[in-house]
Formats: sequence, structure tokens, C-alpha cells
Amino acid sequence: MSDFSFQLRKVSKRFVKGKETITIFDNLDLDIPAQDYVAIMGPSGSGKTTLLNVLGGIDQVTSGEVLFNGQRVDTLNEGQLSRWRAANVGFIFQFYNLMPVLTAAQNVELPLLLTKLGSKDRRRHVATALDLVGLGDRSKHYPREMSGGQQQRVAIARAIVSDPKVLLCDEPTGDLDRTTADEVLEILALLNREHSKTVIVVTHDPEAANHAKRTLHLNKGIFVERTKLA
Amino acid sequence: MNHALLVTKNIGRRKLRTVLLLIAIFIAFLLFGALESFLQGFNAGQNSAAADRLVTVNKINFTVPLPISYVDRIRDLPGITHATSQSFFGGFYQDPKNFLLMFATDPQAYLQVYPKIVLPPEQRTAWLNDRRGIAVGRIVANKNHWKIGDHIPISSSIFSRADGSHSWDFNLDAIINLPEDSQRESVVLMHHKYFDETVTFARDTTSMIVFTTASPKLNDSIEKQVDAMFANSPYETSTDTAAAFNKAFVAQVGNIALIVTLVVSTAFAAILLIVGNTMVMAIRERTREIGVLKTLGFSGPVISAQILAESMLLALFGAALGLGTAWLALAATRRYLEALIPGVHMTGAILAAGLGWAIVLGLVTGAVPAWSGLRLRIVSALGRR
Ligand SMILES: Nc1ncnc2c1ncn2[C@@H]1O[C@H](COP(=O)(O)OP(=O)(O)O)[C@@H](O)[C@H]1O
Ligand SMILES: [Mg+2]
Repeated sequence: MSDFSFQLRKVSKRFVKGKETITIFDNLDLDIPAQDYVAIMGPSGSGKTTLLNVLGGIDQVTSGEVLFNGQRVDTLNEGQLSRWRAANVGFIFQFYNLMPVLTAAQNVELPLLLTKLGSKDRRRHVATALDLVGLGDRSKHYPREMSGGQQQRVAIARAIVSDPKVLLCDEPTGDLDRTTADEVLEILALLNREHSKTVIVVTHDPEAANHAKRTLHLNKGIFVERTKLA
Repeated sequence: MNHALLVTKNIGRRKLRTVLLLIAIFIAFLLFGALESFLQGFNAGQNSAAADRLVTVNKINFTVPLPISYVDRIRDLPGITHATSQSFFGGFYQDPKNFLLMFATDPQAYLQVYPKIVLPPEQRTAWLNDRRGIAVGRIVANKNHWKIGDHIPISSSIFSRADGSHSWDFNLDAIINLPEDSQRESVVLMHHKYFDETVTFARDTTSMIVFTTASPKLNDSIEKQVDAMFANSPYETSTDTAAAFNKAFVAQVGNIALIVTLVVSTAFAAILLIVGNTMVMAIRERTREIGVLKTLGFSGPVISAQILAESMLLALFGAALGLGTAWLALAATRRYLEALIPGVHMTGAILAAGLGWAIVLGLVTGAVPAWSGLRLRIVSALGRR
């Protein structure tokens, strides 16, 4: 067992657009210890989402190695990656990305359909996750019947229901007003503190960065680290 | 919640669209079920015609009679085993709409030409010895609620009696049971002698002569021989196998098989395009959601299976509705249909073929979206803002 959640070794990511090759990052190294809470900031287009996608195994690196718990994940095939993601990573997006045809509880239950849990156990896990985000009473509501903040909390419940080690959040408060954004940030902090989740948040929101243990600034393909002052 | 619920939730997300699709599929399979059932009714008549049975009619067409003496002349030819006259009577019971497939014939000879008809001995004796006796196919007997021993008045739309009336009295002496041959189960057979002594015209004639040969191999030469024998006479003949005669009879109504095939395949091509196109659009609308599912760990094959299940469920449900309605409609109108097309009904084979086509429809219309679901890359599905 490694003390590291993620390790990037000399990771490069390039896109070929016609004759041009765009380099997003080149020979990037990064260590994220287990139970870390990192905020990743940087100008738009600097590659934050791409980095998160690489960590979550939904985008490939051009070269270099990506390790999770000391194991290579950049070499896994698509099926292996699916299983790896289902077991280890929870995703939280800016626009929640809930299924409109499913209730809150059904949305949260989705990842559990890929496990061996029976329906009773699944319901119990769903109830626990919804309680944790403070939406125990909204399980039968559809996304369209909920506010943005509530939808984002359902999305967090969906991300944690199968108890992954890591939460990858791409601008999770980008679409929320200050108060609801703070509620969401509180939940992420709680998950890091009380439930030992490694949390990696891509954000433009300085407040979001304030909740993190440290902040990485991504600019022109390199990191500038600023550890929290307070 | 489970995968099946997810599939049905997706089907139900656009109610109007789903209903319209189901109606399209429903209509196609209603057509398929009904038309195939008609077609099999026609074919049943053709298939039941034994290969070694031939039919001679007037060369002009089968409504112009032949002299009855031709029966004996044909029977006497070498290679011919049995021959019988068979005259259209144009019979109906009570109401001209209740049309009967009725022939005047020589009962003894008829039973030789159709050896598969086995009558109970007492019924056979009764019919052969009763000049006013009729033998009646099971389907007709059931339809009209006739029993052995009934006295049945039957009128003719072609002939009238010498005494001016249009109605003949018959005794029901025998019932023909031959489930494999719905045409035989739909006939009413009267004595040619009774016919001959009561009608005002067409005495000593027959509308067709049916005969059997020693072997189907002889058929070609015998056909030529018979027609050659009567060539240049006032009554030239046209001889064919019973199967070909039935086909020709059907051809007069129109090339039904071709029409059925055209109608059904057009309907299929149309719904294939409609359903296929709609499925592609429906899945494209859900690109982002599919990307999210994949992010959560749903693999490409699982996504494809869900999409295929969706198109399959639509196709099977629509087809079941269409075939079921066709079956009900045929069952409800069977009494009337059987007078026109004996043996019209939806067989298990038609049902199975219908469900087979539904599976094909489901697979084909689901194939393209399932393939794109399988290949969909998460990063492009989630999109870039
Ligand atoms: N599939 C792609 N093809 C070409 N360029 C891409 C692709 N994906 C991302 N990019 C480019 O990579 C850069 C980084 O994108 P992204 O990771 O979304 O940045 P951020 O999240 O920091 O705003 C952008 O300039 C974007 O245009
Ligand atoms: Mg981004």
C-alpha cells in the first residue's frame, strides 16, 4: 500500500489539431498523498479539466506514467478502467450531470448497479449517502424539482455511495451562489476530514481553494504550489 | 432500481415519441399478421392439392361447362386412375352473402379422387345411397350449426329448378373431417344426378373434371394427351395440375402473394427507417448522460446492451400489439372470412415469423446507436464548455 493516492511521472499531454500540435503539459510530475485535499487553480484553458480526466482514467496521457496506490493505471484497457473507476473514483461535475429521468435516490443508486450488492443493501447505502449530504428527505424528488445546490449534493452522494478513496471535482461550485457553494464545500471538507477521502478540486473559486490543504496553480503546463498560509 | 428500470425509464422519457413509434410498429405488424394469414389461407388450398391430381376445364375458362361424357373418356386413358366431375353450384344458405363452396359431383368417384377423405362407414353408405344427400366439410357444418340428419334448404345463385323454385332440399348425410386440408373441410358436395334432373339448363355438363394419375411423372404427358384428345372439338380443354389450377384461380383475384410481399416489405422498410432514425436521435440526445454513465464505470458493452434492450423492447411490444390485434380481428371475423378463404387464420409459424421480424427490427434499429454508445469517448461526450 502506497502512501500516495496519485503519482504523475513525466506526464505529457498533447493534442494534434490539423498541422498544429498543442501541448497542454509536458513532463509534468505530481504527487498527491492519500487523504490530501488539493485545489487546482489556473486560467481557463490551462488544462485543469484535462488533468482531472487523466487522473480519473477517462482521458489518456500522451506519454509518462499515472500511478494510483502505486499501481500503473495509464496502461489499463477500457474495461479495466471502467472497473477501476467504479471502485476507486467518484466524479463531481460543475453541472451536476444527474439523470433527469431518475429520482435523487435512483441517481445515487446508479453506481451500485455495478456492484454485487442486493437491492436492500443498495437502498441502505443510498440512504446513508443522501443523509450525509443532508438530503435524506428528498430521495423521491427528480432533479428538475431541486435547486442547483441540492442537485450538486445529490451528485456528491452519487460520487461517494460506493465508497471510493478519491473524489475528483471539476468546478463543483462554478454554477452555485455563495451560500450553496459554501454548503457544498463544507461537505467536501467533511468527507476529507471525517471520511478520509482524497479530494482533488479544480476551481476558480478562491473560497473553494481556502478549504483545501494546499493549492496548485497550473499555468503553461507547470505547477506552482502555494501551501495554505493560515 | 435495476438495469431494466433504467431501460424503461429511458423509453418513457418522451412519451409522445414513444407512442408514435409504437403506433408505426403496431401498424406494420398488424398488416404483416393479417396479410400473411390471408396468404397462408390461399396457400393452404394450393398445398393440399396432391401432385398427382389434375384438373380439366374448358379452354375458354372454368365457368364454361364441358360435356359430362368427357369424364368417362378421360378415365379410360392409360395412366389415369380415377376421375370425377365437379360442377360449381353457386349455393348459398338463407342469405346470398352466406356463400357455399358447393359442387355437384359423383360421390363414389369423388371419394376415389380424394382418397384422404375417410367418412365413417354409416355416413358414407348413407350419402352414396341418398340422392338428396350432401357431404359437408367440418368448417361449413360448424359455421352453420348443421348436424348429421338435418334437412337443409340451399339456394343457387346460378341455377333455377324446372318447377320454378330456386331452393333445393338436402339431407346432411356425412361430415368431412380432414384438418390438413381446409379446402376439403369447406366444401358442400351434392349428387350430380340430383343436380342434373332438377336444373333448367347445363344438363349433362360439368364445370371441371378432376382426376388422379398413377404417378406424378406421367402428369406432363397426360396433360398434353387429354387436351389433344379434345382439340378441334366444340369443347376444347385446358388441363393442369390441381395445384396450378388453384394458383391460376388465385391469380384471377390478383397476384396476392406479390401484393402481400410488397405491402409488408414497404411497411417494414418505412418503420425500419423511422424507428432507426428516431433511435439514433434519441441516443444522440443522451450523449452527455451516456458519458456520465461511462464515467461512473458503466462499460461500453453494458451501455450498448441497454440501448439494444431499448430498441428491442419497443419492437417486441409494438409487434406483440400488432400481431395480437391481427389475431383477434381474424378470430372475430373467421366465420365470414372462411367462406371466402377457407383456412384463413394466424398459424404459429406466422406468429413466430412476426416475432422473428420484431427481433430483426429491434437489432437493426438498435445497432447503430448501440455501436456509437459502445465507441463513445467520455471526454467528448462530457463536452468542453
Ligand atoms: N480533444 C481536444 N482536442 C483539441 N484540443 C483540446 C481537446 N481537449 C482539450 N483541448 C484543449 O486543451 C486545453 C485545456 O483544456 P481544459 O483541460 O478543458 O482546460 P481548463 O479546464 O483548464 O479550462 C484547451 O486549450 C483546449 O482547447
Ligand atoms: Mg475545465
